[in-house]
Amino acid sequence: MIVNDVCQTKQGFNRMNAVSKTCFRNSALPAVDIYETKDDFKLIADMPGANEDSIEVSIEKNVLAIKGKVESLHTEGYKLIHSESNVEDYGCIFTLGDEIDRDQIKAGIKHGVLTVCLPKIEPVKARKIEVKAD
Amino acid sequence: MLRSRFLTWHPGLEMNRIFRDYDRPVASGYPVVNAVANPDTVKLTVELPGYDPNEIKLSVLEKIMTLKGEREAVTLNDGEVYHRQERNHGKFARQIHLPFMVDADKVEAQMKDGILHIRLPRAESDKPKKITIEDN
Repeated sequence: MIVNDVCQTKQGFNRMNAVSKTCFRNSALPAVDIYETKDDFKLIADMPGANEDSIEVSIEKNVLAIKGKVESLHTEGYKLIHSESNVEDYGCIFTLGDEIDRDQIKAGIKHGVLTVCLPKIEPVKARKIEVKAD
Repeated sequence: MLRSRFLTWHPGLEMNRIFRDYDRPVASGYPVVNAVANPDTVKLTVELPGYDPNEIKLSVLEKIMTLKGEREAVTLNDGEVYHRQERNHGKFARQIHLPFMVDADKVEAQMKDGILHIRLPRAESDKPKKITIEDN
């Protein structure tokens, strides 16, 4: 992962500045896809067990934080016989680049998959200024 | 910009992440399964975020439960590009050995928030029987 992240071409490296990912201490890091379309960046995170009530998406300056709580699966009267994950909470931080419109970010969760839409700021259009003869 | 990027990507944090991943049991497969049991029932939870319940096939034969499913990747249009791709796509199949024979007719399964909950009751024929010893 590190090698992959660092060894991007310069162009790729610059583009990665748009949205970069870091983890919170002591919480599970969800698997995340990020793709760029013409108008926005789409961030898709697998967070099984989390729903709209237990998930929190917040933005402060250029940091987008995602936190999700998951109910413990242990049941009274049962013994744990096999465990591959003991996730109780998810968390990750994304640093956003300047090209993202922070006021227009939207998020939704369905079947344990969180989708965050990060729209790009409309590029300032170049316009021609007419020069008039005085 | 470059400086802020390096502050965010802290090697210590990245190392923490790598070591935490190593804490996970080695035998972990895909999808992730947890199981709890008592002498009469096994309950499994399978992490299947974004899977359509109709695309998941669950079958039980004696002590082996087979789970198959498929999740399609997002198809990108021209000019769209992935910056990060960590989620699994495509088909999976996983077999799980149960601690006892189960009654396949009474298996219950339901999907909630991307987690498949399966309840497998022990088959009556497999339950230990108490034998009374007659005193002659």
